[in-house]
Amino acid sequence: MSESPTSAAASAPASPSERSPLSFSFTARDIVTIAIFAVLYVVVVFAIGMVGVISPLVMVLTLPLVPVVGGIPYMLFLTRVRHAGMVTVFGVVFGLTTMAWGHPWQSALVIVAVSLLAEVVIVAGRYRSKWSAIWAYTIFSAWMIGPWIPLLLDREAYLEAQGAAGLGSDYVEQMDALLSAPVVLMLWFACIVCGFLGGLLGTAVLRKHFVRAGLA
Amino acid sequence: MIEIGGVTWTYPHADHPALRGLDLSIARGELVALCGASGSGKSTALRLINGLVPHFHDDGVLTGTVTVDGVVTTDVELDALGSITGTVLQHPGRQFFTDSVREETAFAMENLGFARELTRDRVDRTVARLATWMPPDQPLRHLSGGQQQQVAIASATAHEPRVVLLDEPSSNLSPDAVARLIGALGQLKSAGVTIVVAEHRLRYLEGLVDRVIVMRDGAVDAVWSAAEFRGVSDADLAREGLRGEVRSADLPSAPATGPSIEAGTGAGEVPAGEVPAGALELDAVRCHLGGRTVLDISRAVLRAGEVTAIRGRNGAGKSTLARVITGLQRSSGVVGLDGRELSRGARQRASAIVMQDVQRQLFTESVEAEIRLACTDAAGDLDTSAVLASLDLDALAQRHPLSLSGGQQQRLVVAAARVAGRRIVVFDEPSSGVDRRHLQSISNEIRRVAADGAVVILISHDDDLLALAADRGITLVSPGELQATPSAATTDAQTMKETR
Amino acid sequence: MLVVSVAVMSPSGLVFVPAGIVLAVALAASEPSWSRVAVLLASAAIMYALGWILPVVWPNGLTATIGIACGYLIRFVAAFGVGAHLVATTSPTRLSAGLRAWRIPRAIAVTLAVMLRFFPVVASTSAAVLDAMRLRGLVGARGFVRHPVLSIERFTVPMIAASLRASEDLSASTILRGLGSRRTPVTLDPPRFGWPDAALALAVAALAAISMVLPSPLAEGIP
Repeated sequence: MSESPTSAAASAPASPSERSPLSFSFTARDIVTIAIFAVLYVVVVFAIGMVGVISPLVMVLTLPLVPVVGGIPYMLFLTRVRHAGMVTVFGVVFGLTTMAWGHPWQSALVIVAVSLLAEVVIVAGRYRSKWSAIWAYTIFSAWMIGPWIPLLLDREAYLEAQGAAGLGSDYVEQMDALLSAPVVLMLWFACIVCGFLGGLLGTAVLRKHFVRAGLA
Repeated sequence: MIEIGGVTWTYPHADHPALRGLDLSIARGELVALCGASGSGKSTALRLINGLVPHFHDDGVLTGTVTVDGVVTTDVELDALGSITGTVLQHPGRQFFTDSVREETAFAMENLGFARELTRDRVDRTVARLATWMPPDQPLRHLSGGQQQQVAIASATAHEPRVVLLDEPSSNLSPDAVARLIGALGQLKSAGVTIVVAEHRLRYLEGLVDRVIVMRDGAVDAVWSAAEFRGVSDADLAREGLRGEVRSADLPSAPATGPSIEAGTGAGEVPAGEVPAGALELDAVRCHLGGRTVLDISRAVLRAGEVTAIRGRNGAGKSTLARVITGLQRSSGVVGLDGRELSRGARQRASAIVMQDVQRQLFTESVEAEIRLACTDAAGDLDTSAVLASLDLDALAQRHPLSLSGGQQQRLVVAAARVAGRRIVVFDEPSSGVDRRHLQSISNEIRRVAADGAVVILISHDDDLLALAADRGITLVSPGELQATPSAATTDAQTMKETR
Repeated sequence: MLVVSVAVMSPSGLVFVPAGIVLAVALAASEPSWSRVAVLLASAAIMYALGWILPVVWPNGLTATIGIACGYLIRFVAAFGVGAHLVATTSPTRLSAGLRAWRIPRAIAVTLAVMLRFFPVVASTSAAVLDAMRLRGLVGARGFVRHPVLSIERFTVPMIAASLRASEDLSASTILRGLGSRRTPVTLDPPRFGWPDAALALAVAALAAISMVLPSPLAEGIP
């Protein structure tokens, strides 16, 4: 029995640059990693969302908090990504989960699309760049537009359906103006900005806690 | 069967290797006990055999070779090792993936792609052999610790691995659940399975074990043959930090009455005029959850400066009682401290819980900040560094709480509760899976909190700890449950549940 | 679930909302989960009151805005009810077996099954962290408003750390038992399209037909 080091990957020094090559084949651990972080993300988002249920006014205030807070689990997730495609699979399962709590199917498609984009950004940063992770999360946060897509696509039909329900036509017109594309796009932009802030917060929390605790 | 050659292993982010040049050879059909104090590397050695080391820990550093049944563990993926080994981890309740006994037992065979007929046949046989008289439709999380252990063993062995590994299987088991564990191990051994048990409680293995390997600092320290082991006294075991016989602690009863209190325990009524100063009183406390009465106590008095043990099987209402007392759970009735009724909010401000999973209650980025947070909570300003020194935590002041060992985290949480001057302190299963030395230090911590004059409540299955740390005991039963006869009630509550 | 989502979210989907809510309530009652029945009915009632009655009784810009929002959100209630039933009644193994039968890729099917198993773990950890914060006096609206980031940090950091730790045993044990391996798994009791499923499908079809034939209370408004 020789004393020489024989293990393959494990004896390699743990420097980030040597972690590649990334391959598309997931190990069971990757799958479990995606699952646990998807659950953490959902629970964090849901917890903040629950605060917003108190009243519509509070909801307006907490909605932008969702991407900010979600940055903490997401940025930790990105440090554990080891194979190409993990970010996309995260998006797919998150999209399916949002459907289970009542989001429209169009929203799930958006989530998958932004996840693919985020994946591309991460690949560009070779999976280990701090800034590409922050930008990837910013892009991912754009999913917040998803729940409103059906409303945007067919505004008239929506308003009509309810206008008939007793609202005067002036109000329908007001709503029409309020829900116009620029306003909604501004809201969306705000969410993306919050996503960027979330990415920064996530990075800060990583440095302050998870790295020092040996979790990242 | 198992060959470990010169293995040194360092966990990711660790300063020191967990194993240093470990050499070990285990023959086919042998039953080997690995023992040693916490941190001696016995659990890590098990993880080395089933491949969790290194496959489960990226960036760890491993040198040396491990061969199990002719397979070099670093050459194959985990599922390949999983098909030749079966593992029972330390907390069986935390490793179940499914909800029922049958699904759980079939889990490995389903995933490893065994034929359906074979799976069905073997699952039925395994359940009949190892998990007898188990309520088949009961969700697994409602089973007692002993039953969960049996299901975990069944689910680790249905695919008939040639090597079975068990990590501290006797922790949290009542004496008769240990007897069933011995039966299961005997069956496996007579079937020719190689068994490795990591343990710090050894006596129960005496009739089965072929070799006892004592580990220290990540290497083999001593090897006892079966005959030599029989000659080792409990005092020698203690010197290695090991626990001896499983014994049940006999505690005098605390005064308590009501349907939730097990018949035959509870020292009866305490007249209202004779309640000692500072004591915690419960009057007509009832708690309903999900349309079911989970707690129903007519009256109970817990003294300040004493440690009161709360015992009872899973689901008997132990944690509900703790949550009611600390004000986290709504209930009817009156909870009073020092003769005054306390609202839920006041109870929250007067209480602390040391949770089983202490990581859940560490909020800040350093030990010092954690204590400072507790100080802001206390009346008046305290000198943080002096407090740290008096708690023996000053060496760790700048460390991140989450990077501490489990025992250190626990000490930090206890320290925060003491600094904040909490008058009710609940310890929830503080000793799961610790060795003898550590048990003593936990017990000292608990005693110190009581000496400060707090009402201390200790929820535990661990009779060794109860014998060391508790003054009185209350045993809870589910209020709806049929009460056992007083003679049976004096034994461990778990016994009743499992033989029901 | 997909069917309900598509039906309810389409612009003219308000027609299907009462049927969706009836279905969700019936499913919740069949478990039986009376608390969900209550939540569904209550939220549907609130949405209806805010979305249809309030703007009529007290018409101004604000109530109209709320009305439109609730008219939109009531669709979510229906879809949520059906989704919650699915999550509450499906065990992880059943889910992965079902997804496998639909030929969903391994990575996604196994991930969803594992997620279903992790949800209760993370939920109970979150509840415990909140308990611990409450005992330390760290919970409260005032603290949250004054230091929102600090409050978030004090919740998420222990929650994530403890969840990761709690999930470690579970993932080690399931991976060793071959979960997510490249072998082809075999299901002990293969999922079948049994008569309860057929009955459910019939009921859904009937509800949809009724919705189309009968005048809808939501579209008609207040008489």
